[in-house]
Amino acid sequence: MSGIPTPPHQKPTISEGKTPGPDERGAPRELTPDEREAFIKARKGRNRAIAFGLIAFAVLVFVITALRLMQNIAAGQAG
Amino acid sequence: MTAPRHPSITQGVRSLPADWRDYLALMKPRVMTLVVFTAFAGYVAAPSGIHPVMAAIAIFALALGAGAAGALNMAYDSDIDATMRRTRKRPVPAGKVSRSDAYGMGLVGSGLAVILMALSANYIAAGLLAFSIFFYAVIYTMGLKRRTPQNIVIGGAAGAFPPMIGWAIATGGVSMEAVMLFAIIFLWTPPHSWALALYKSGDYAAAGVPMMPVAKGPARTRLEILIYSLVLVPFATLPVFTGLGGWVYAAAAFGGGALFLILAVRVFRSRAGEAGSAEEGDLYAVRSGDKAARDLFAYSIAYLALLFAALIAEHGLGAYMSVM
Repeated sequence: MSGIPTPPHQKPTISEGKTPGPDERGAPRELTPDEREAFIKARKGRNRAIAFGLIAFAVLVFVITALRLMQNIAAGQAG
Repeated sequence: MTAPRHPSITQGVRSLPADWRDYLALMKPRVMTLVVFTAFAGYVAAPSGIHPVMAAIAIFALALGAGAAGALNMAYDSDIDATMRRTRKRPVPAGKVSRSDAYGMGLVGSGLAVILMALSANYIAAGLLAFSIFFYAVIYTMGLKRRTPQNIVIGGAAGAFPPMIGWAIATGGVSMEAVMLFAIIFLWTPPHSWALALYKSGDYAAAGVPMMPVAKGPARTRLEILIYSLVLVPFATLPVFTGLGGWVYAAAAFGGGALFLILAVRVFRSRAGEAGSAEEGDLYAVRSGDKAARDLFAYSIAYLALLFAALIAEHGLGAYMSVM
């Protein structure tokens, strides 16, 4: 589509301004130590969020199962 | 030679991973809030037989599904979002989250939401949730949005499902009352969205989205806003006559509706949309001629909230007193 700029995530955002890499079209390059540290920190945060989400899902399924069991047992005793 | 501790890093990357705030923004939290609110209203208005904890999990599943649908929308629309002032700071066009990550989050979130809904509520609610996600992400976002000025008229159905799903969570089925709540949001969507589009039409035109003001012009849009408002306001009073709404709802529907009509007439008589878009990206920033459209847009949100808050007050807090 003409006239629509390339979305920024398709551009080499990490090299913008300060330390341009060897290939401005977005080819991989070595990170500076600061960028490396920020990358690891951000990735850890994302991994923790995914782990938290999966654990929360498992807990919710457990709670649903327990409630259904209790309801069915109560219904069985009543009937 | 020692092996690199993080081989993927030493090989290089294009951008830093996003943090949790970017992923939250991807789920359109403001839309999620409205979804949860209207779904909760549908749930409390229905004769309920479900355990409250199960209902809470089901409403959470609905919120997750809405957020996942939002992520799919942002992934697909990242190209046009990048061209619009209002949306260019969203996580995908801003380069914080990759398109594939957004798709992944949307698909996984949708799957988990539907599973949770089926387990905690019932298959009818889960089916409606799955269909509403499909409708929003595929029918509206991929199919209608870039093709027809009727995009938000038909696509508005996706946003109208939550109270019906809330009703299905409580009862395991869908009744006329649930369809009525669906129809209120369905009819509310065009005047609400077109009021915004009137003063942001330049953005939509630049992005190539054929919103009504772009495709048919501001005069036709103002007329359509008035027509839909004339249908919406009387329709929103129907719950009073079926017994779903009591005195509180009646006050909201008649009083709030009257103000809605006044603002719609004001838009119709104004020259809103003639001057193009406001320069700044703020949702409520307008040129002086567009003030009527901005006021209707802002009030339309309050009006819908008022109607559903009345239902919550009557059925959830015991304020119900029958009118009929």
